[in-house]
Amino acid sequence: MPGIQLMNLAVQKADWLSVRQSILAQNVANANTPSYHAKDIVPFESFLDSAQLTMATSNERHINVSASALESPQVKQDRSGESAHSGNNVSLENELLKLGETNSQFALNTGLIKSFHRMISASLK
Amino acid sequence: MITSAIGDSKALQAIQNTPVQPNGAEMLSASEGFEKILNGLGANAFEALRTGEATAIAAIEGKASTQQAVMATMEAEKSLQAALAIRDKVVSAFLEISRMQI
Amino acid sequence: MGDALISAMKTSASGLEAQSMRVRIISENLANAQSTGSTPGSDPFRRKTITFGEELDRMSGATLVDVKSVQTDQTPFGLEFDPGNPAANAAGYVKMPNVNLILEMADMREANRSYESNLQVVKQSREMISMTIDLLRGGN
Repeated sequence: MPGIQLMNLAVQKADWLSVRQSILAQNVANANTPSYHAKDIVPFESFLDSAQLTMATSNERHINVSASALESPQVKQDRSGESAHSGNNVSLENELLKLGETNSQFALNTGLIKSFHRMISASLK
Repeated sequence: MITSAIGDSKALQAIQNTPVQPNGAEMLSASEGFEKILNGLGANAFEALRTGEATAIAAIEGKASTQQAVMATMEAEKSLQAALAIRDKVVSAFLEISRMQI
Repeated sequence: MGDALISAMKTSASGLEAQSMRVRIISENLANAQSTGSTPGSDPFRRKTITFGEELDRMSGATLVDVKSVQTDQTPFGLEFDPGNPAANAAGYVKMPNVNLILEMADMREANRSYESNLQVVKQSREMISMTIDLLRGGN
């Protein structure tokens, strides 16, 4: 089926972006929590690589391993940046910047899914 | 009208390659890319679609810009629409012709 | 991965609540910056502080933030010479609240900023969910 590579990739990107959103939300919510260190998730490429690994080792008959069956991207802590007296190192500006990125990447991703789905449907008629 | 439809050899090829079956999906084998369906729809559409898909994939992986992905996708959509319009006209002409052969 | 976007919204909602509480505490400090006692030598208003902490929401697996404690600031009170004041001691000095207006205002600004940021995350997460559902509509 045409475009399946693109669709699978887009679904994984959507999942990665969603998890990132939840981690960034945690950072913003904990901007004033003592000793809290800002978190982020592994980059998308790394997530893909580990996902390929999981797919390769699972049953070969499953062509379409659903994204939710794969492991969540790893969360890592960022110990860099200045810490407040309380031990908190969250910079709201940084987090808001990353949130903006996440949002626009998500919008592009969804838009591409929509367009290509439309094209696939049209070409099947 | 019949002459103009059959005279175009590219169109004839398209007719021969396009499976005239009710459910086009069954004819497709599990291969990626738009190749199997669009065989014969014209090199332009094929190229635009391949570029569009590749650019989209690159953008998702962070290797191409949003701008590039959107432009390439729109090009692909335009080309596909044009190619499908031609294919539909050719197929309906062929059906008309086949109805006449008794 | 569950529904990460829903988790994001839950997390931000807890952030909104926490910051609201913080604003309330700061407002109380500001309102009572001059509240002295009523009897001679008595203590004035004591500044309040609020501490947040991480909290795991067992049901969704989301990490939330909540108010761990509200405490009083043990910084000693300053003295002001005001013999006419009902709280004046024998020497005419009144104990004043340990509230620093400038610090409280700065804290208030930060609390508002944090509140707004959490609100932005809520809106954004909602938008992302919306975009996904929208794929079902008019995708043909």
